[in-house]
Amino acid sequence: MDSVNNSEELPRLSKKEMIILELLVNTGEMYGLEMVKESEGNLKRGSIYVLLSRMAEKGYVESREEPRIFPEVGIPRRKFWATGVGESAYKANVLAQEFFKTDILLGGTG
Amino acid sequence: MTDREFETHVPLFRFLNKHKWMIIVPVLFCVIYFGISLKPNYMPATEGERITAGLSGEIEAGEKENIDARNEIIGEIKSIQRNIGSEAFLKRLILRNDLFRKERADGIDLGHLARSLQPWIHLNMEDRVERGIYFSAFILLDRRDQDQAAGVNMDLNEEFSAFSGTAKLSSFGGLSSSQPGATNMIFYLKLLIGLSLGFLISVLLIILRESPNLFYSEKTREEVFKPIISDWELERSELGLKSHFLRRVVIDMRFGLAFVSAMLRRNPLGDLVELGLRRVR
Repeated sequence: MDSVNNSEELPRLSKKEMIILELLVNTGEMYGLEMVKESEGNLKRGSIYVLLSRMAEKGYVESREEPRIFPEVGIPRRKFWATGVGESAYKANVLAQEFFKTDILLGGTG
Repeated sequence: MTDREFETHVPLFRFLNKHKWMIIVPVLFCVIYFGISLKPNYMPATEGERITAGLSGEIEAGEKENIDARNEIIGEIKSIQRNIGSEAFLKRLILRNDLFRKERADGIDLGHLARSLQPWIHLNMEDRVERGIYFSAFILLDRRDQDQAAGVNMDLNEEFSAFSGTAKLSSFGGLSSSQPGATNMIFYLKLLIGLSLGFLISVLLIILRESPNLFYSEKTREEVFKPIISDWELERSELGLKSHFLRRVVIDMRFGLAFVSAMLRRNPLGDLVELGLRRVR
């Protein structure tokens, strides 16, 4: 959590980070593969964990290992959820997007 | 110490045990592939079942004074030898001497039989400056075609008829073969290629599989590579024990690519590229 942005600037999220946070905020806890399947092709198997790892570094998500439930065997799976910071960042970005959309539609001053 | 303990305590055995499938599968695949690619050969596999028919000749050294004439003779011999090795000549040879009777009755293509005879032709020429020009041309035949060996000899002699006046020709027909087993040599060569290629693929796969341990931090392995392998296992296990070969291959390819893609993205260079892309956006 060292790199959590404490400045007053709006935390900038990439499109994929937005998708991940949207899924996690709406669903609660999810596995990486579930997110790939839910994202309808926006997230890929090769990038999801790299993104999640970077988001964890920024403090947007947290995770824990979930041991396999019998009769499943193998490496434990990792479950992710959005942190308070992540949820706030997501909501702030959603609001910002809505504001700019409305602003543009109303022909705002920009 | 039990076998299992032994396997886990000796580093080499631990390594081999960990990567056994990455070694066994590619090596088996390559060996089988190369084994199958060995075209059917209609010549008997063992030396004892083969006979030799052919001729050898020596042109007097008198020509050594005249280099042009000597080169002309060499060129002519080479041309005859090329012709003897050609598919067209061998087709004629098979038909005229009624070779491979059984195979032709079974409907095996004549061209294929001719090609199958090609590795069994031995052509040689030596320019022995002091003694003259030595050449030989002989074919190994199936022992079943022993009666046809004389006819084959005549045909080969006919090809060299231009030298009948100048060369000392000696023909031999129906001799038991003393040539090395070419089929076996080809087979072992292909086996060797298959094994080498298989091991090469194994090494590449092992390097790929081990590269996260070699080049990435413990944290990255835990957060990026382990979950990919876990998902990989899950999708494979969801197929159950039933044989879904193609789906299994698709999953393996998909996750193999995902693995490589994650490796590239997690690479410091990948980080830079991603940062650049984000700036562009």
